[in-house]
Amino acid sequence: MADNNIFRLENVKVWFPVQEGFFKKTVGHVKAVDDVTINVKRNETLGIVGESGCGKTTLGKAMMLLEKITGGHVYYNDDGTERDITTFNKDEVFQFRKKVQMIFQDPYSAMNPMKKIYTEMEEPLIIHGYKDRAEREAIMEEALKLVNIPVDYLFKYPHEFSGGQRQRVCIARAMEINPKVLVCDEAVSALDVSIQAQVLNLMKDIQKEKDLTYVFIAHDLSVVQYMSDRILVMYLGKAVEMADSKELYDNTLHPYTVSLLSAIPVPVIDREKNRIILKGDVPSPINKPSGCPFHKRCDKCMKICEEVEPELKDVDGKGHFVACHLYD
Amino acid sequence: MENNNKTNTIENARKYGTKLWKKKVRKFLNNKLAVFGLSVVLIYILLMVLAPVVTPWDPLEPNFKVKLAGPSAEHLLGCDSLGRDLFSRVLYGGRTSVLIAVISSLIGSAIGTVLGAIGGYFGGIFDKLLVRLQEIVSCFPQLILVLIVVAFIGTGTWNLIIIFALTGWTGCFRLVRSEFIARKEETYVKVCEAFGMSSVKIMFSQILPAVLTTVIVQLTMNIPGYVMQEAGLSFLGFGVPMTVPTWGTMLNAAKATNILINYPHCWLVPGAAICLFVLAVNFFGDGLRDVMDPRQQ
Amino acid sequence: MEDKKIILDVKNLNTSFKSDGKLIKIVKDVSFQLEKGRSLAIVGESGCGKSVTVHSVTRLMAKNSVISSDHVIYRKFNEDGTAKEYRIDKMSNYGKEMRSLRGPEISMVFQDPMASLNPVYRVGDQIIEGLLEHNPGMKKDDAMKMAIELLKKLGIPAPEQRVKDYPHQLSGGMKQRIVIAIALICNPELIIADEPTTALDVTIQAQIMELLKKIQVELNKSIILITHNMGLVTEMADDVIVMYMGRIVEKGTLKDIFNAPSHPYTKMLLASVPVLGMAQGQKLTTIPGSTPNPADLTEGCEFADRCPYCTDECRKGRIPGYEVSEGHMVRCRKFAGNKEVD
Repeated sequence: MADNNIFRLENVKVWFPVQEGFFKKTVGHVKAVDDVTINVKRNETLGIVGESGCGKTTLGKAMMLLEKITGGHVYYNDDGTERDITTFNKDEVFQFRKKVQMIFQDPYSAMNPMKKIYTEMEEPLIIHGYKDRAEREAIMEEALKLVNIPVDYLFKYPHEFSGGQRQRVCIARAMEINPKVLVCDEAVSALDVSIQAQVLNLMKDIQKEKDLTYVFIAHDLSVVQYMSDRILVMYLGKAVEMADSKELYDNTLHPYTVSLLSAIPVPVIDREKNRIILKGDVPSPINKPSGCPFHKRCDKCMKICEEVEPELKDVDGKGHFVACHLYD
Repeated sequence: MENNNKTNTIENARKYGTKLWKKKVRKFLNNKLAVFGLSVVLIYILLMVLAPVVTPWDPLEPNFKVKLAGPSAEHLLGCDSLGRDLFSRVLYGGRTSVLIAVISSLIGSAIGTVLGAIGGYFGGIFDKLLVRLQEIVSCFPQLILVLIVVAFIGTGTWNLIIIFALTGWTGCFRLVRSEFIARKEETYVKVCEAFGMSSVKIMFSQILPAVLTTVIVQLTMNIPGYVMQEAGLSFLGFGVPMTVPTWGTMLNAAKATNILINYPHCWLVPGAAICLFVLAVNFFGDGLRDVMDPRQQ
Repeated sequence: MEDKKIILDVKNLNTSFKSDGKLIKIVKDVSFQLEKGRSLAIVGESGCGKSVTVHSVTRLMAKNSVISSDHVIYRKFNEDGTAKEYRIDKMSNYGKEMRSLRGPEISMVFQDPMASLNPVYRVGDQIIEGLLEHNPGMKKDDAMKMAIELLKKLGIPAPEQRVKDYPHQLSGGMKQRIVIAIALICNPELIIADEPTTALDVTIQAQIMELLKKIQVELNKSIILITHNMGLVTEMADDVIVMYMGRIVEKGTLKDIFNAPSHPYTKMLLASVPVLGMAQGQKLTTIPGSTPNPADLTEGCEFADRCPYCTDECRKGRIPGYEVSEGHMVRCRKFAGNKEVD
């Protein structure tokens, strides 16, 4: 069972210090990711949703070692042995970079405007020791074929591409070094609807072809549900619910997930809607409320919620995790 | 065979790929002011380099027969109070003036770029020290610095260059530093990090090229400022020694009231030379900025 | 007159931009009518001209734009049922007449609440600015009282304190409410919301949309909503206009568009949106290709290159609009047998 996990996160914390005054005294922490324990199974797509500031992007970056992990462990396992990436040395990090790649939100700033696509795509290969030019070009051509971009585009500049094409080039660039995991941070939210569908379908096809594992981070639950096998819902740096994507939709447990689902406008008319409009805003992650982070906006708030922080627990024994006192 | 084919298509693509510089040249040529500026600058340089061919007169040789003579066929732009040919002096003097400006600007920009890159990319204590140093240097009145240096080692072309370079790097430092700070947060830098690229390589291959274009533009825009400063300092007598012809010393030589009122060609000629050159370089610099700025593509 | 109270009547609106000495058409022959008390959604992808359309109507355009139209009429209805007509197309962009309309009659809510508020003024002062502008002689205290009253109505807690805050002290959702308050303070009849919730989170988006709907229904205002989000359209709109590359490709009521989409673009657009609760393994429809460069388009249907039903006819001349059912217009040669309405 444990062998099935490509990533296993144990009590992962990413805290940013808040400094004040002349001597930069640390007066508190922004707890961007706070005590998250989850797993990512091999070849699955794990969707991570939540509102802005919930820590989903930070969690994704922490899994790639692009953000310093303050506490906890991240175990990575692609060959049968589990290793803690937080203890990696420089060389191991470099090897790890080959295995896990990221697709960023904004395809416009993810490419250096001064460089041709050719240079842009060649660089990662040079870094990872592909010395022969013909070999590099063959790899680049194959990667571009994967995302349906003709080779002549190699000698163009990023500004000559549309948003969708750029995002596809970004995917091609990440795929060149044959990663095992792709972390997609809001990969389609900057794209138009019709282009978004193209990129989503393309990503699904690539996953099938290359046996990839996706960590798909987005704020749009409809997109996440379309892409993912399992979904993790985050709120204020905490994991509040994690379940199979269908189960999460059919049998929503956490009140936050319920209201999140109901807030999403659905492009179908005459659908029965039972909308719960949340009051207020997301509290600041510096001064988190005590107890359950959601209790101030929750309509099912009980006394215990204000005092005791709920733990993420498997409530049905089949992998539907929820952190809520309602299901104690 | 199949492999061959693949390289062929890539080779083909390379041939027909976008040639950005061609587009840039076209864009530059469409900017009439910039083209005017460039041509004027080129004409200046050509005339200065070919000065011995263009004019038969020695810029230093006085000839009291033609003292303060107006423009004539023999002396195209007239002569100064010692009877030296003004056209020849403008050309030879321009050599020194422009040289001072270009070298000062180059050295200043180089210092500024290196320090700005280091400070901006790595940050930390070293960056803070550099910023303080920059503040001190830019607060210190340049004129007083010049006076001190002149008092100790006397006037001279190289002294002026050293002073300009030592005081002139701050603008470039601020520019490069803030560009580095902004660009190291760009997503494409994060992408390179995610690929495992080292920070030195990111600094030089990803950020520096983009910053360099702004530096080059800044460098061009600085040149007219130095030409003016040299003229001003020399006019006051603190710049280049009077024996060396520059546009500034020419103006200095024409500052007697009698000459100012009765022989305006003596100061009009170097004045106009400075004016035209400064304008031309500014036009050229503006055009260059429009073309080079990557944000405007 | 007729029973229908048409508050905004736009006929053959064209807007072009000058770029490199060439005129590029961004909005082409757009005509629509908006009834009082109804909401109209203009949907389309980026670059389809939906924002430019309303900016042309309110004349908030850059200098390098050229606007022409048969007419753009705004009608102000008095209580006795009579109406005063304003020919917006004949007014100058920033003239006195146009300025007197902006605010008390037509107001706008923009996409980015962070950018639409001035960071150096207290939000209260920004709200009453319009009020003082259009009511000379009004006292600042009275205006502030009205502002606080309005904020209370918009569901902002402790409005007396909020008006003294600076924009950076407020959260994104709160800022957008302030922007809406600025738009509403002069009690306009027509509210134009240009992607009002794109920069906000879904739960906040739900709050804001609920608020806008309430304003429309309870105060009988007219709303033009510009969006690319199909879901929002179904929640807000009574009528829908679908635009593609500057042209209205389909126009009808909400039911017409969502239950009987007729233009291939509308159909494919609707099918390409992931819907919550979609069956596992179901695939999204994609529209092949990408949106063309507006400078490259010459004649015929703008969608021809991406359309699976494209025929030679589609590439010639101007495609007229055909009637599918009453009030439901589609600009597609597939319906050439039907009555031409545009």
